[in-house]
Amino acid sequence: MGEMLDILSDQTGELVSRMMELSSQRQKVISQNIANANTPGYKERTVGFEKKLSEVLEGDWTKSKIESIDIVTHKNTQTPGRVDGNNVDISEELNELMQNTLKHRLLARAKSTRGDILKRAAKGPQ
Amino acid sequence: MAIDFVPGMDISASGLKAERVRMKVASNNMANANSTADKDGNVYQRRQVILSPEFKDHVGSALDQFDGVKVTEVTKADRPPEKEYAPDHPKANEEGMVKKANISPLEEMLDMMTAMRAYESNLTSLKQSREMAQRVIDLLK
Repeated sequence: MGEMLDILSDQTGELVSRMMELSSQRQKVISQNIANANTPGYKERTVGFEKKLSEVLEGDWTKSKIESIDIVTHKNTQTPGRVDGNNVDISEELNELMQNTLKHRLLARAKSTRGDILKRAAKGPQ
Repeated sequence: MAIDFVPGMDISASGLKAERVRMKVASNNMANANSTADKDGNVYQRRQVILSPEFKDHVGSALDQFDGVKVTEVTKADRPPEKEYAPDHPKANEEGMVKKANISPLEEMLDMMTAMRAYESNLTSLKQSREMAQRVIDLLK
C-alpha cells in the first residue's frame, strides 16, 4: 500500500516537482530580463540549478538530497552588451523563454502521467 | 516554496507599462518635432523616459526579489533648440531665425522601434507564463 502511494511523492516525483519549480522561477527571471531590455545599466540575470542537480544525480540520490539544492540567480557581468551598459539580448531571452515553457509543459505531462498510473491502479481490473 | 501560479506576471506587466510610456513620449516628441515657441517664448524640449530595474526587499528566497522595471521619471533633454532660417515667420528674430524643438525624428523613430519590439517581447513572455499556469491547472484533471 505504502509503495503504491509513493508514486506521487517518491524521489522521481520530487525531482519533477523541483524541475517545475525551477522552470517557474526561470520564467520569472527571463521576464525580468525582458522587462528591463531598455533599462540603461541593467545586467542580465540567469538561474543556476542544473549543474548542481547533475552532480547529485551522478551519485546515490535521495529525495532529501534533491530538496536541499537551492535555486540561485547569477548576474551576468561578462557579456559586454551595448553602450548604455545593458547586456540583455531580446532574441536570446525569447529563445530561452520558449525552451523553458516547453520544458515546463513536458514536466507537467510527466506528472499527470504518473497520476494516471495511480488512478488506473486504484480502479483495478475491469 | 510553492510553484508560482502565473510566474512573472507582474514583471511582464511592468515591462508592458514602461514600453507604453516610452511609445507615448516618443509620439509626443514626434508630434512636436516642428513646433515653435509658445506665447511665453518657451520652445518644446525633447522628453526622455528614465527607466530603472525594480527589486523587492529580500523576503524569503533570494529568487523572489525580481519586480520588473519602473519608470522613475520623464525628463527634458537639455540640448539647445534647433534653428531654422525663415524670415517671414511671425516668430523669427532679427536675424530671421526661428527656434524649433530640439528633436531629431530619426532618434524618435529608433525609440519607437525598440519600444515596439520590447513590448512584443513582454507580451510573448506574458502569454508563455499564462500557458505555464494553464498546464498546472491541467494537472488536476
